[in-house]
Amino acid sequence: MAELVGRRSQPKAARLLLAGALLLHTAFLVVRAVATGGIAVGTRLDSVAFFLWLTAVAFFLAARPYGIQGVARVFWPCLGLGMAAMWAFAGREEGEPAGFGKLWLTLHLVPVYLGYAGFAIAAGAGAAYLVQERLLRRKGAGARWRLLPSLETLQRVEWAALSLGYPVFTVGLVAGVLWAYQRLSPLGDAWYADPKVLGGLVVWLFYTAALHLRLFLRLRGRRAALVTVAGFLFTLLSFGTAHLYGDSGRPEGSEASQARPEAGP
Amino acid sequence: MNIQVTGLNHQTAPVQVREALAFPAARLPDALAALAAAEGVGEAVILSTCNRVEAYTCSADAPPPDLVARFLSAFHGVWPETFQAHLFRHEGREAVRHLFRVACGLDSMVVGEAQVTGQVRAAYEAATAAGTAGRVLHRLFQQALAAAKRVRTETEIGAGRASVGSVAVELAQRIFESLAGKTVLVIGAGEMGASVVASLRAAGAEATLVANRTYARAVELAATWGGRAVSFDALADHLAAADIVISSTDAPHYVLTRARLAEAVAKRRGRSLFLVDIAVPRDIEPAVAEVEGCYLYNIDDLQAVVNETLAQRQQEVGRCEAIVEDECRLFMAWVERLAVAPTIAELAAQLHELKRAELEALLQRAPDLSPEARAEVERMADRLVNKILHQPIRALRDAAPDERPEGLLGAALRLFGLRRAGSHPQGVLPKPGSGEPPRSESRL
Repeated sequence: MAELVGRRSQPKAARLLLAGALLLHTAFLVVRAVATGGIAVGTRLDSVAFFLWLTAVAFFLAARPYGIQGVARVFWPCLGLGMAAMWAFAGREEGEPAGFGKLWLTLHLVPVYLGYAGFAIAAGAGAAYLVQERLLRRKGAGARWRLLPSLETLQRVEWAALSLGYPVFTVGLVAGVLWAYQRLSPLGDAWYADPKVLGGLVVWLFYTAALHLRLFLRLRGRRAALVTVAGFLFTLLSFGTAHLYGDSGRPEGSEASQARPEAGP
Repeated sequence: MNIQVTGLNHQTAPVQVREALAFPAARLPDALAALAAAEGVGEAVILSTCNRVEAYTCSADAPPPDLVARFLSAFHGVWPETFQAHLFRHEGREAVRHLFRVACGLDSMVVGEAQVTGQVRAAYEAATAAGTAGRVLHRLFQQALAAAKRVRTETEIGAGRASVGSVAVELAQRIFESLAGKTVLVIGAGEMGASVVASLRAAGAEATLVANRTYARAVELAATWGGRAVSFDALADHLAAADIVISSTDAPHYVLTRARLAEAVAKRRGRSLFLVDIAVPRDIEPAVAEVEGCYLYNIDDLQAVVNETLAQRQQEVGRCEAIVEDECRLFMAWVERLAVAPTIAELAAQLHELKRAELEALLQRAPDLSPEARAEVERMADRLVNKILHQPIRALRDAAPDERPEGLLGAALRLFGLRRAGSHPQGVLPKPGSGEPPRSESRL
């Protein structure tokens, strides 16, 4: 809606709408946090809401300093679609994950979701890079390239988001793996076989390879952007699969949940 | 009051006539003083740019039609016959509308260009400094600049770039975050190439390498831009260092081939390369555009963007004209209100004089009135006069511009037996140069 208002030459109204939406979203998270006694990420709805909120806040804060306001035309509608999908498909019926202490919430979930937010922004910048590159090459398409920031700017944002998101994600992942090891090993379960642990590790390996390509093999431009976008699609796939086959989808109190505690996102 | 504009522009006069009558900035104060001192002229502003020479005047009565022509002839020492046929002249509302259209870039060679707004501002400031802009031209130019600002913010008339050089800059800015520190490699010595390089340098591009078949010519061009001449035969080496390549040779074959570029790109470590081929026949093989990281544009590509921009601006002209009309209406309404000011002042003075005389007579007839009673009678007389004045003054001031106030004005003159004061507002206004400019009422 803000995008539509913005197009009607009402940038101030658009900004107010965005700020209002962000406040409402924050209020929702606060209400859920009060209801669950900590950061609410137990249900799919909660976790997706938390992830989208972090992404929105990061973009809101970074857009002006990084000069990427032009990406907002793509970013906010995409985020809006994400929100709509969240309300439509993300289940709300699950119980809170069993045995997840507040310390682990802080050490594992917050960095992991911050990492996801970084990957999402990097992928957004990468996608914008691919579009801009195509517009600049297609001479007959008019001057639509005016709508997006420069290729160099998009590359810079992509790199900044990746290089910030990756280490934070790594911290969260290590905390998650340690937690899984502590909780699952005494029960005789293979902690490394947990779908979420596996999914997280695969995502981490993918981004490690992507950063290696950038740093040591000087992967740049279109190919680098393609890798970043593919990385995020892969992350989404991994996230979805892990939630589908992981324990978090099972309500607390169910047989499976009692047999094996929750393993995080 | 008589607002007039007389002048010539790119639509009415060829460049040799325009340049013969142009006013260099250094001579503008003298020109303004000479024009303002001419018979019947009260206020004067001269707008002199490469595309137009226009003299705006405001006077109590209509000045002789050939006044500005005679002034131009005398000031520049040119026979009037050489330019008189190219002059245009507008009066009143048409003159106001003309200035507003000029300030908004609607009368420019490239519709919507912003430079002319700055030139209008400079002309106004020069007249203010010279003391030749009085209250009417102050208000007129301030409102013209306000109209230009509205047009810029409320329409898309200024969107996009409208010259080949500026489009090249804009494209470069969509590839690179900033042009500062970027290296431009110029191949050949074409005029159009030089213009594109000038635009890029103005946008921040710093180092310039110049390669030409004739090395001496390359050295000469490099000196102009503070750059460095390089060997034409070592182009491949310099391609690896350059960020932007402008090619405008008259070679009958490709100067840069795909194979040569691919070789150079391999050494560039993923940095983008922006290539502009202005030559006809083309200097750069079209297949270069397929090389990763290379963005190639020829003269037709750049011209297509210019044409698109101009077409988009043309679509906005209607909205701009509506804003111009709106501002024009506001200014004319102000002028109409200004025209009734002497009548209002005289009407008030007459009634207050009447009050004073009647009070005097009354107090002579009743010398025993206590001071309190006298004060009360005087207050009553004041209230009465003010109440009588209130409605006529309001009616005269609120007269809409379309409802000519002469009707009301005439009625007021007849009803109250007033003298017909000069309709020119200078009757009640400070003469130009008589002090500080009046406070701006514009919305700038």
